[in-house]
Amino acid sequence: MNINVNGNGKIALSSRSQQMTSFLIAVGAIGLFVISLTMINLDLVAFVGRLYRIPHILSLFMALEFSIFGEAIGELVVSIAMALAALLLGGVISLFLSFLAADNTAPSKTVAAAIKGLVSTIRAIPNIVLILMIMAALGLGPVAAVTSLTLSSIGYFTKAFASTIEEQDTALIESMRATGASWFQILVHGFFPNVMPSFLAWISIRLEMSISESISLGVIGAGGIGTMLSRAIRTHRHAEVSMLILIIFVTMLTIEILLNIVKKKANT
Amino acid sequence: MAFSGFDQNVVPSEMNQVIPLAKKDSPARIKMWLTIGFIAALIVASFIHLSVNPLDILTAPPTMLTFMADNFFPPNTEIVANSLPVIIETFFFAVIATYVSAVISFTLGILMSERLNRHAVVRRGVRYFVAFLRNIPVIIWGSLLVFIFGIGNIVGLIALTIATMGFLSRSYAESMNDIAGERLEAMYASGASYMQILVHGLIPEFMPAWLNWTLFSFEINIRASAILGMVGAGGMGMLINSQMNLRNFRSASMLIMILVGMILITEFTVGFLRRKMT
Amino acid sequence: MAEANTLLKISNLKKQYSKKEVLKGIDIEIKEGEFVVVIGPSGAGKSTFIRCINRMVDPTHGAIEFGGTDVAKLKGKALREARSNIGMIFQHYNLIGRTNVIKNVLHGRLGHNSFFKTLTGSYSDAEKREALTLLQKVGLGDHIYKKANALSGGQMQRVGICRAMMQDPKLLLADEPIASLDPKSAKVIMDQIHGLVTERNIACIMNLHQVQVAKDYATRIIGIKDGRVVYDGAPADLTEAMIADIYEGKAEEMELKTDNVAVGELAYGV
Repeated sequence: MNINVNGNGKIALSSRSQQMTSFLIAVGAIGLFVISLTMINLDLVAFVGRLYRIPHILSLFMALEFSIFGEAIGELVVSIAMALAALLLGGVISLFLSFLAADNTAPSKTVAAAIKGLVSTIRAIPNIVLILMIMAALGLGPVAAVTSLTLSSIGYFTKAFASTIEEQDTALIESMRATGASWFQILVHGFFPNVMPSFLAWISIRLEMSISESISLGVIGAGGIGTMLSRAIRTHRHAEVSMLILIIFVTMLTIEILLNIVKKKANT
Repeated sequence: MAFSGFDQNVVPSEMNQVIPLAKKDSPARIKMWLTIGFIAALIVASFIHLSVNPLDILTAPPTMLTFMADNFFPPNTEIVANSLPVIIETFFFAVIATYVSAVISFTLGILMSERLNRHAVVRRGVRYFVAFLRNIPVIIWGSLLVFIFGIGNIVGLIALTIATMGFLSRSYAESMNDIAGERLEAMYASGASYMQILVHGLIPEFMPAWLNWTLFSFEINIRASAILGMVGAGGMGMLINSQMNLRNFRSASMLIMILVGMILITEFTVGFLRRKMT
Repeated sequence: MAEANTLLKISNLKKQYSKKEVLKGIDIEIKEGEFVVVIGPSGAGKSTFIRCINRMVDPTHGAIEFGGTDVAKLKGKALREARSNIGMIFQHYNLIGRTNVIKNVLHGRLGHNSFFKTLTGSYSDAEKREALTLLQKVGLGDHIYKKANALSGGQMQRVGICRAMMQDPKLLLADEPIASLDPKSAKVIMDQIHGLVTERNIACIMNLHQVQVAKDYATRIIGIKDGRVVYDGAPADLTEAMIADIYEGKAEEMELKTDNVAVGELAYGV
C-alpha cells in the first residue's frame, strides 16, 4: 500500500479511495436531504404564524378531568376486547393458512404462493385504510373494527407462523408420512408441539400491536377509547384529552413492561 | 430433533388408546390449563362485551368482497395525474422525517445509554419521555398536533418525526450501549475527552447500526404517512380519506393501490439494502 | 538503573465491589524504566489493580502518586491529562474496527489535542510522521489505510502498541496483552513491547498468565493472590515453590489462556 500524500506534502489519514468514498457518501446524504426539502412545499409561514398560540393551548392541557375516568376505563376495555377478539380469530385462521402457506407443509406450491401473495398484500395495506374500506361496506361498529383487526392479524400471523414452520425439520414430516399419517394428523401430532413456543411468542408480540391498532381505529370512529379521545379533541375539552392520553400511555407502557418480563422469562 | 409428546413409532390407529405421556396432575400441567382457561374466558368475555358474534365476522368477507367488487373496481385511473404531486410529496416527507428523527434520536440514544450517560436522573427522564412518544399511537399524535397547530403538512412532518423518534431512540440506545463497553475503553484510557470519544469512537462503530435502523424507520414512515392523512396531517392519506368520504370509491381504490405499491417497493428496497449491508 | 527515580507510588490501595473486596491494601513503588510483570490466578485482582492506576476503575481507598499528583483524587480534565501520560494495551486490543490503522494509532494523541483540532483530523505533521514510523517499526507500514477489523489478532495488538506509544507515555500498562494470541504472535508482541519500552525508558506494568514469559522479560515480578501482594522481587528469585503458592489450588491456570476476569463496571471518569 502506498502512502497517500496530500497536496501540501503531508501524510493523509485516508487512502485516495477512502477519501473518495467518504466524500461521495457525504454529498449523497446531504444532497438527498436538500433535494427532499426543495421537492416539498412546507407551509412554514402559516405554521410560524400560529406558533404564538402554542403556550396558551399547552397550558389548557395541563389539567386532568377525573370525572370521565370510569367511562374511559369502560371504553378502554372495549378497545382491548376488540384487540383480543381479533387476536383469537386471526390466530385460528392463520394457523390453518400458515400450514397451507409454508413451503414444507403446503399441499401444493400454487396454494402456498397464492396465500403468501394474499397476506403480503393485506400487510401492505395500512390498517386505517383497511378499516375505511371495511366501514364503507359494513358500516360503523365493532364488527367492522374486529374484522379489520382480524385481517391485519392474519397478515402478520400467517407470515410469522409460516416462517416458523419452514424452519422445522422436514425429516419429521417424511417419517410421519411413512407411518401413513394423514396431512391433518401430521400437523396436530408432529408440528404443534414443536412450533407452539414460537407461535406463543408471535402472539404476545402481536398483542401489543393489536391493542395499539385497536385504539388507533377508534380515532376514526370504530369505537373504544380512541373514539372517546377524538370526540374530546373535536369538542375542545382539553382536560379530558389529557386524561385519556394518560390512560392510553399507562396502558401501553404496562403492556410493554409485562411483555418484556414474559420475553425475559422465555429466554431463560 | 425433539419429539415432545408423540413417539414416531406410534401408528395413528393406536393414538386413540390413551398412553399417558405426561403426568396428568403435575403442577405445570394444571397451571397451563388454568392459563388457557383464563385466556379463553377473557376472549369469550370480549365477544360478549362487544356483543359481536364471531360468525358475523367470519361471514363478513363475502359481503365485503361483493361490495368492493361493485364499488371499488375498476379503479379510476384519471385521479393519478391529479394526485401525482401529493404522491411524490409523501415520499419526500418520509425522507425528511427520517433524517430529522435519525439526528434527534442519535442524541436521545446517547442520553438513554447507561454506559454513555452516567447521570441516572437525566437517563431516566429521557427514557420516560421516549416511552411516552413510543406508546401513544401515531394517529393520536397526528390528531393532537393538528388540534394544537392547525391543519398543515408541517404538522404531519412533526407527527412522523415524533413517532419514529420513539422507536429509533430505543433501538439506537441498545446498539450504542453494546459499542460503548470494551471497544471505547482504550480511548478513555488515553485521556480523550467525552466529545472526542463520541466522534472518533462511537460514531464510526455505530454507523452500520445507524443506517440499518434508519432505513427500517423510513419504511415505517411511508406507512405512517398514510395514517396521518386521516386526521388532516397531509400526504396520501388525506387524499384517500377525502375520496372515501365523498364515496368516490373508484378513485380511492386507485390511490390505495398506489400506496400499497409504494409500501411494497419500499419494503423490498429497504430489505435488499439491509441484507446487502450485513 | 541503580539511581532511577520513583515514577509511581501506590499506597494502601483497596477496591471493594458491592460485596467483595478485590484489592485488600497494595503498596508498590515503581521506578523509571522498570519492566514489572504481575502474575496471579484469575480473580486475584490483577486486572482491577492495573485499571486502578489510570482510574479506569475507581479505587475505594488509597493513594496513587504519579508525576507529582495523586491520581486517585483527580477528576475531569486533570484526570484526562494524567491518563494521557499513561499508555495502555488491552487483551482484546480495543481498536475502533471500522476506522483505518493510522487513525487508530493517532487516537493515542486525542488526549494531547483539542477537540476541534482532532475533529478535522488536523494532527501535526510530526505526529503523523511518528505514527508512520511506529507502524513501520512493528511491520505494519504497508497496512496503514486498512480497516482495523480487517487485521489479524497479532496485527491488531501491534496497532494497540503503536497507539499507546503515540501517547509518549512515561508509564505503560498492559492487561493480558497476549492472552488472545497464538504463541508465535505472542512472542512477536512481547518482543516489540519490550524493545520499545527499553529503547524509550518507559516503565511497564503488565498482567500475564504465563509465568515463563514473565520470567523471560520482566526485571521484576509481583505476585498477587486474593487481593494482596505475595511476591515482589527479581524473576531469578521466584522459585517453583513460590509459584505453586501463588497459584495454590489453581495450578491449571498457570499456562492456560483464560479469558480476562470481569472487572465490573468500568469507571469512565469524564
